[in-house]
Amino acid sequence: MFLFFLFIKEVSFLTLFQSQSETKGLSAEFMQIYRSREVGQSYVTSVWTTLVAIAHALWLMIKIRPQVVLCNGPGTCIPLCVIAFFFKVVGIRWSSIFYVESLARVKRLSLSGLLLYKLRIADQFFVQWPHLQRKYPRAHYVGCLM
Amino acid sequence: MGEARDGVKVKRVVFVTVGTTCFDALVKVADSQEVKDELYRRGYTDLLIQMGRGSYLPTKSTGDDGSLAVDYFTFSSSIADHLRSASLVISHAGSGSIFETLQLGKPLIVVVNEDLMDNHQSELAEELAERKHLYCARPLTLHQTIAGMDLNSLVPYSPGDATPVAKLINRFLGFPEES
Repeated sequence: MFLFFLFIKEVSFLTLFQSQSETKGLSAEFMQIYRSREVGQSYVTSVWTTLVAIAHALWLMIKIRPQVVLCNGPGTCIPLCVIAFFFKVVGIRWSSIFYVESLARVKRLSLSGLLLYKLRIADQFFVQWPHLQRKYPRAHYVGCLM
Repeated sequence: MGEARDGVKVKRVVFVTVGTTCFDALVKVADSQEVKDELYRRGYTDLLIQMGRGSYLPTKSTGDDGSLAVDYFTFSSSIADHLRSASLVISHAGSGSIFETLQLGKPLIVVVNEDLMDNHQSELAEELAERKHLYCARPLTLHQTIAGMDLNSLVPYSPGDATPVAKLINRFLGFPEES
């Protein structure tokens, strides 16, 4: 039995996912997590909110201990991915980390994507537009998902 | 939506949406006489504007005087119904709005918000416009786009498929391949 950690930014997709998983007989739990930084928030206050987000992420990771982390882009996923990666490196817990870059990213990666790609935190990195796969060869091009 | 009577004009609605953003430039230009006249000339009867967090309020009009009927609202829990009943959609460059509209097979003009910093959204609109799935415009060029558009030349968008990702993830995790 695998535990999955899935990040959904849009609440509308959340309800869609909820109803779809119910019809497929999957048990799914949904929770909200803290953001490191709101859009337009000053970088100074972001230091504190990022620390709060990291502490919250650490608590969640210890409590849930997922085998798979699957995320699609918002910066909210970074603390969780970093902690999962850290656990992996020090041998506490192995979580596979998959990152799917946003459909809106055609020519440039998002900041989250850049971090997870360059620091090799993601085990597999997926992009939806071919130009990105040429620019970032370790990424897998999977076409538009929507 | 009104009883069927002989001589009743068929409603052709233009739906303008800015999603959850503030995009006064689009709302203002959609409400401008130039754009409204152009839309009326192209055979549209109604203009419905979803104005989001903007502060500019369009002018409502019943359209009884032989012009475009105009109405607006800020938000609704789902714009799917408005998209479905529209004959033309004019949207900000949010990927959610764009793909929701394309998947419904509606003609779409995407207007890029030039006031946004780090406008990566325009990349998506421009790429899809290059592939002829929609028209791309700026607020100041919207009326020209409307005047010159040929909706029959738009290529329908085929919905994407998430199976490649699932297959790659399954393979990585060591699950047996399904035939």
